[in-house]
Order: sequence, then C-alpha cells, then structure tokens
Amino acid sequence: MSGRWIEREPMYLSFDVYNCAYCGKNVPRHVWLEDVDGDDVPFCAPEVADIHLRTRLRDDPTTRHPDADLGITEQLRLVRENCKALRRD
Amino acid sequence: MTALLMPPQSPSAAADLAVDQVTLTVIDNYLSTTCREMGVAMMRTAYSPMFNEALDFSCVLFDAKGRMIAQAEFCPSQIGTIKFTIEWMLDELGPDVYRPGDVIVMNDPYRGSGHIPEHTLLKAVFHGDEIIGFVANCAHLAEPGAKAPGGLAGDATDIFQEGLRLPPLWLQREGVPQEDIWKLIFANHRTPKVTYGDLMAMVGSLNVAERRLKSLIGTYGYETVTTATEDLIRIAERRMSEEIRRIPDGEYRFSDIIEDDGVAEGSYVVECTVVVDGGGVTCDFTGSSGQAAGPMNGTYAVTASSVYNAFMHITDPTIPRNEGCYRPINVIAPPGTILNCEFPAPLVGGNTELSPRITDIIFGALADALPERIPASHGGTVCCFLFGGEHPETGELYSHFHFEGVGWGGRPIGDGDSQVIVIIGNARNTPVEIFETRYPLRVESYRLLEDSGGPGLNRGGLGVERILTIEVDEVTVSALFNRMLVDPFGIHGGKPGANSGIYVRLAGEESWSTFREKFGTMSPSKFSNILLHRGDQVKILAPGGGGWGNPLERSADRVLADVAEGLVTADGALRDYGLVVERSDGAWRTTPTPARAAAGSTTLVEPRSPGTS
Repeated sequence: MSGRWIEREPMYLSFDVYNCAYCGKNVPRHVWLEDVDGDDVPFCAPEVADIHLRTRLRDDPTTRHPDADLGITEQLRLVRENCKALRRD
Repeated sequence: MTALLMPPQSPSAAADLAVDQVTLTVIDNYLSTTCREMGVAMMRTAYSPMFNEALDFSCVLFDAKGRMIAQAEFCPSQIGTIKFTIEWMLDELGPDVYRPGDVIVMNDPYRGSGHIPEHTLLKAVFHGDEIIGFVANCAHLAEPGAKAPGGLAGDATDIFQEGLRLPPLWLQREGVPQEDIWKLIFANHRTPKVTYGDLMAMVGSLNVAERRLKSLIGTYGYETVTTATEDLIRIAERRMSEEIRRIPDGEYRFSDIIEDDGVAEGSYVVECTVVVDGGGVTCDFTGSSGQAAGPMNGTYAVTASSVYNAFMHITDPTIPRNEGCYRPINVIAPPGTILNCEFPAPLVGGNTELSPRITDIIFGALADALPERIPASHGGTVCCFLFGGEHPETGELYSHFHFEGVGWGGRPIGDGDSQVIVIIGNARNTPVEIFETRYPLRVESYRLLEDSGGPGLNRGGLGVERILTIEVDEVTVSALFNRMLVDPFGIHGGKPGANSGIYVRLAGEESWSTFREKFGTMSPSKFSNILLHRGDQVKILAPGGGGWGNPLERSADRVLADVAEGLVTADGALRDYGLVVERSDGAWRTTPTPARAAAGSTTLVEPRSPGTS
C-alpha cells in the first residue's frame, strides 16, 4: 500500500466531491488517496483502502492482492472499525 | 411500564455498562422527549402547512463528537441523512468556529443533505467554555427557490434548477441574525414570509433543545450524561447486532425499476445484494444503473438512509435510536450510479421516489429470510404535486408541495394500511379545510380507490383518488410521481397494487388526459411549470400496496367484508379472489369459482344481512 492523507479546504470556486472507493460515501475533509496503478484513488481511511484492495479488486488478475481471501466477516469488522462513515469515536 | 434498555435475556447482558439501567432509561427517555418537544415547538410556530400540518421535519441531538444520541419519531429519510449532514458540516467547518448562540444552516445534497428543499439547522450547546453537544433539525421548506414553484421540478437537468444551494452558513452569530444571509435567502424564495416563519420556528426549536440539554446536565452532571450516552450508543449497537443475527446468514438479492427520470426515455434498474453475516449486514448496490439525466438520483446519504429505514422497520422498535443502531448496517453505493450520483446531477426526486423504492427492495430481498416480518411493496411514491402563483386575495405569491398517502403492502399479520404517507415520510396529509383556505384550489373529491389494494391472502392497503379544481385565472403546476408504469409488487403469491396516476381535464372537456397527451411533456408523471386556468381539473391517483400471499386463500368472510365496505368490487372479488359475491333480498351470498375451489379455499359463508361482517 502507498498513499497519503490530504486535507481539503472548503471548496467554493470549484466543487469536487471525493467518494470513498470502497463504499461510495462522500468524504468531507480528510481524504486518504491511495496509489492504485498510478492513479490516486480516494478512501475515507487507509485501512479501508487496504480492504478495498484485498477484496473488491480480487477478481481482476492485474490487481489481485496476495491476501485476496479476506472473508466478508472480517471485511465488515474492519470497515466498521475504520470507516469514518460508520464511526466517530 | 418502560422496558429495560438491555433485556436480561440478551446474550450480551448489561455487565459492562457504566451507568445503572434506571438512570440510563431516564436519560434516554429525556433525550427522546426533548426531540419530540423540539418538533412540537416547530409545529406550533411555523407558517407553512408543510410544518404545522404535514410535520415534514425531524429533530435530532448529537454529542460533542458529532454522534447521534437521540431522535424522535419524525421523518425517517431526514433522520437517516442528517447523520451525514452533520458529519459534513462539522468536518467542513472544523472544530473551533462555534460560539454560544450561533445557528448554522445548510441544505446542499452534495454535502450530505437529502435534497435542496430540506434545510438543516445546527447549534452547538455549551457548558462553560466547552461544547457538550449539538442540537439540530431538518425540515422541508415549501419554497426553495427552484425553477418550479414548490421545488421538485420533475424535469430538472441539474442541481442548479432545484433551488438555492446553501453550504454551511451562519444564520445567527452569538444570537444575532446575520441579515446578509437572510436577505440572500429571501431574495431567492418565492414566499419569503413563509420561509422566514419556518426558519424562525426551526431556530426556536433549537433553543428549546439547548435549554433541555443544559437542564439535564444541571440535574445529573456532565460526566454522568456523557457516560450514559456512551452506554446508550453501545446498547443500541449490541441490540441491533443481535437483531441482525436472527436473520439467517446468506446473500439475498432483489431488484426493481425506476420507470423514467422526467428528462429522457428509458428506465433504471436498482439492484441490491444484502449480505447478512453474523451480527452485521451489508447492502451492496453494485450493478445498479448509472445516474439519471433527470431528478431521480440519490446521494449516498439518501441511499444509506433508506437502508437504515428498512432495518428500523423490521427490527425491535425498542432499540434506542442513536448512532449505535446504525453501526451494524453497511452500505455500498458506487459513485456515478442512480444511488450515488455525481455533482451536478439533479436529484430532488431521489429523496422522495428512489428512497421508498430502496426500502421496498431491501424488504423484497429479505422476504424469504424473514417471512414473519416482511410486508409486500407499498405504493412507494410521494405523489409530489406542486403548484404556485399569485393569490387573488393577498396579491402575494404562494407555492405548495402537496403529497398523498398510498396503500401499504399486505403483511404477514394482516392487510396493509390504506392512505398512509410513504415509508420514508411518516408525515401527515394536509386537511382539505386547511388546503382550501390557504390555496385557490378546491378539492372536488377525495376517496379511497376500490380495487387498488393488491389482492392477497392479506390484501394491500388502498390508494386514493383526489380531484382538484383550479379556482383562479392561472396556476403553475408540476409533478414528480413514480409507480405510474411499474407496479407495487406483491410477495409470496400476492398480486401487485394499482399504479399511481396524474391526469388533467381542461375546462369544458369531458375526458381525462395525461399531461404528456395534453401538453407534450416527456413523462406522464414528471414535469414542471404547466399553466392551468380557472375550471381546469387535476386528478391524482395514489397507488395501492402489494398483496401478501395467495389471494385465492383469503377467506370468503374477509373478501365479503371488503365488498360490503366498498374496498373491493364484486368484479374484483371474482377476478382476484375467485369468489362470486352477490346480494339479493338484503343478504350477501358467496360462491367459489372452480379456480378457488381447486386452490383449496372452499369456505362458504352463510347468507347474512349487510353490516354484520
């Protein structure tokens, strides 16, 4: 995994909405940009980017992750713990 | 008697709660009652029937971290989205910008709101110099400054046609109204006096909540209240997980159609895979159609809110309604689809028409997994009818968003309810007397529509017919309906409910036409800014609910009662229930058809007098 956090300033002259590539939720201010094949792909947290790479891309041989066997139970647990859409502790 | 928040039979008993259950229950009830009181304040002080009759608003409390800690029984679509709205507002504005007496407004759907007419107001509550929580409400303003009076333009092609879009802005700073912002809003709404009254009612509602929250902390202390709300969130999460655990693990799929978008020909598929896994569930909408050209799109917040709504309906209603009860429910809505459209797509109908469809789709997916809880599809459209113009008595502009109740789906335990506002709304209709007093339209008829409930062992509820006559020289009308072409579905052998409809009859004409036939609108059910004149009439048909179970197995007693009460016609009884119903010499008699007899429902009813069912 490689990526970086960006903090967006409120946008008024242009309005770009970042959607988490795992679940689609609009990410308001703090966005994790994951480098996927040279493209910056937005996520709400690096842990969720990891889940995305290990699961939703698992059927694509060009992006297949060696740990592609992450089951749905583990996915859900990790998403619940990390996605900002679900938890604000 | 109030039930324990953590029932003793619960597998995850209350061992690790920091506050005793009695205190927890008192605080939970106090917070929920505060939300109800906020609503009463709005209902009694607002100007528009949208507030004081329809109750199209919601009131919610958040803790200092922005987590929902209480809500009341208001509009489910707003309660689900406001969680995202507040999250966005707090993140965009940052942590150090609030002062006592500040009130912030926001209605931008691309910042977590449901659609432009729904304005969210937020106020931080202080204890000394520290923020101890946020109070918020969300309400549907009758006039958002869209291209069509009343908003909800059925043929909008981008968000800018749907009204004045407000990012988070200060309506008040330290209790002082920010006149520049108010002037900007007034200048863009057709009915500024109504907007003023409704927004001020919302401000007053926040003040009520602020006083109540401070009073609670004065009684119990800040530490106890915050510890209690932590416990309440934990309880809600556990109990919702336990409810989901009762659904058999597995993948359940269902799909349905959005019939058109008001702008282009063609329909849209909404497809959902519900993955139940232990105490969590994921609703994945991957595979659904791309975003619509017209206003039938939803945002992520709308889609998630609709999913939450479905699960609140099929799980234990005594679970505390706070952040915790949403945590076990995950939603995947790919960007660029009709369920999560991208800026600047139009979306005002997503919150009224797509949203109830999503809830029904979740029900459809789980129909076999939870046969004892799942109903058939309800009418599933708000039947949005908007109108406006210059009122002849006041010389001022008016506009109104009128909606109808629909039939709800047949249930495992009985027939569906008739003429109830859609599942996302929990709102009320506007009484005819209020409607006619405020607006220059006359209600010619308003009645339950016989045979509109989907036939079933448990029949779908009935829709309604309403006929309106224009009583002034000119009125501008718009509509945003769904289910005019695609039926409300039945389940377990139940039949579909009747479709919706909106028709026009110009003064002097004999027959009804669709707006497409008469005015050339692209869609018969979604259009904006059609001019009607004195004597013209509009007929609204609200759909019925789908049936539950094989109608041939409905007892002859129940079919006869429906016929006697005018809910089902004799033709309908024969066609749908296989029962010949006749009345002679003041007595009813029923005879099963061969099809009904073959289905095993051979119950005969003895002749009897009407009115004894």
